[in-house]
Amino acid sequence: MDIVANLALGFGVAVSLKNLLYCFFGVFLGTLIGVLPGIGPVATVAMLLPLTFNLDPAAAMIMLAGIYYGAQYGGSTTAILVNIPGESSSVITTLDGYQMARQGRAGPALGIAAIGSFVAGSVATLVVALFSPPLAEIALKFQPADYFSLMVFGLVGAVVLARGSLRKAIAMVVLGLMLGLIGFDVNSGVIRFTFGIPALAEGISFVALAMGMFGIAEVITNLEQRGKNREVFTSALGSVLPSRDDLRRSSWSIVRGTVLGSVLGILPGGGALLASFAAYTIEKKIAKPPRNFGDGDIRGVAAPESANNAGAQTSFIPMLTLGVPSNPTMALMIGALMIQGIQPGPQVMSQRPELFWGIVASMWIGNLFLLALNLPMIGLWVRLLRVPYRLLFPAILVFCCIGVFTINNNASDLFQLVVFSGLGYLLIKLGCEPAPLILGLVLGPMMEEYLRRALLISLGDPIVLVTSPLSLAFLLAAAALLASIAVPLIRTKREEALKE
Amino acid sequence: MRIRSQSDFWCGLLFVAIGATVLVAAGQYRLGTAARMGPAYFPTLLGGLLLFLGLTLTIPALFKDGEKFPRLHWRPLAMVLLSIAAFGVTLEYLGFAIAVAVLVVIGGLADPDLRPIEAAGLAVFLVLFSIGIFVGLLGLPLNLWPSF
Repeated sequence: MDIVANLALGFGVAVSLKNLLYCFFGVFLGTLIGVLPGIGPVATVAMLLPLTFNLDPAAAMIMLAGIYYGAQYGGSTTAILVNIPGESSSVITTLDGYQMARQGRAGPALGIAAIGSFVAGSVATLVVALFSPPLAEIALKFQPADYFSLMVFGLVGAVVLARGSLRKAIAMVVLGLMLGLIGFDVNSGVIRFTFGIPALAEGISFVALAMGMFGIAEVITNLEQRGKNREVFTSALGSVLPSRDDLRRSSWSIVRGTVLGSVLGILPGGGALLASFAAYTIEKKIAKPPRNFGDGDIRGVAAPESANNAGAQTSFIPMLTLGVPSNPTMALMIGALMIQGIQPGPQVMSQRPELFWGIVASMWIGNLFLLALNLPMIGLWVRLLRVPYRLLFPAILVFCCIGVFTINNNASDLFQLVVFSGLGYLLIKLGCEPAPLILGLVLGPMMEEYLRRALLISLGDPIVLVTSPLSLAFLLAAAALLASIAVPLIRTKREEALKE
Repeated sequence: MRIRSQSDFWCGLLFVAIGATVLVAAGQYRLGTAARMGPAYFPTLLGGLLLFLGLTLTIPALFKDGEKFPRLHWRPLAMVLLSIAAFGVTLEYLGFAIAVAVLVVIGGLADPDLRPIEAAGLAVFLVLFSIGIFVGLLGLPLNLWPSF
């Protein structure tokens, strides 16, 4: 069995003392930052990215993956205890999780979230190990036109899942693609669209942009809601171990969440967000008796928490095998790989198997740490949540600024941070979600390159985009996605699902 | 003419402005042909697309009721942005320790609930804490103190 040998190789890499340590630190720091209210996985990964620069590629990716899971779980903790979701993927957890906390059952809610996440993470790791090799093999046959259309499909997926106006989401993607083109153009050797600012020659700093739009803009929005008192339910935390009854009631929810999350995570634009919403909706429909949902039903925590962890994990598949990010966090991971001098894509698996399988194996180890870390250390996170926001936000500012500065040791990145924080705040106020923009930013140069190559081969005839069967399939799928939300019936369903 | 949906109108106009800027700026680079794209080719496509998308927001906003322009809160916005800019400037000339203190003090003004004594305490704590973590533990090459 190939997969056994592959996983053995991976565990051989991941289980070295050094890499275990980085994985542990990643999970710990990720949870620590992710617990801070209003700081989600994207901002956390961006903030902690500089810590990995001096590591070798495998250790860096292992640590980043740990940070990602940690941040994801930290966000759930905040959602349950304070009713403030760190990021959209834990919005749904606030519904029943916070109610459970109000009833003095915060402990079991946190416990089931950790257990569900662990089960889901273990299964999703296997899914990644099973499905990545065949996918990478197919991807090696992709022509430039296929890649271009795949990216169109991925971006459309991101647009469809953004909340609010479809036109605004598409505009954000296009804006992101354009921002990605700023700076040095490899093909012509021209430095373009810098508007006379020399620091822009190397392009927009995607960490500054991600941090500004997901971190700082969020801080500003939180500060507006002054006076709204946050209630932290920590007095009656009780045992974090769910009772036998809790476990029995939620075990099928965990299974359903895991399956759903693993599937949805692979889709472009999918990942944790879609998975958690879909899992909750399904749970509400089929669980018996259904009456407690929204009122502190443990299944309403177990299913979405399992689903978002599974989705977070399987969203690595398109990133690792195709080099195409399916969500903003994966866009950051691609950036991290490129900083390490690795061009993400199907060739990574054949050329750097130890890196690829090391990451896969460390996913499972990361989940184990998560379980081992969160159950005993929950008291520490709770104490952190008791600190008032007015004392927390200056610390968040400091970490964001140091994070952005240390990427290039360049103060000009901080001015980019100022600009993108302001722009992000304005756009969020105008109802434009920043996620599609960040995906566009990362994909911009790649899309241009693939389009250029595709049209070079076809002598300028755009028909090549529909004569290649794969490319045609991606474009049709993208069109179907777009059409599906233009149809009123499905549109209202989408709005319902995203609103809940 | 009355604008029915302020939010969509201005949002669309923002995209139109950015799209138009890109189209104008693209003029100074070579366009090329589809088979041999110049540096301006793809950006021109995108600029045109953004301009068009902006119009699909702006024009309907004149006729269809929608959301008002959102209320912007200037104090947190201005203070947070100012503090980051101040951090960037002071970092180069006055070193890391002073820059972090400046960042915390100016940034702290974003929240009127933060008392001056708390801000001062936070500044001291965060300077020591971040020096400990980023310089002590991680060994990042930062200039701690003013260089003169």
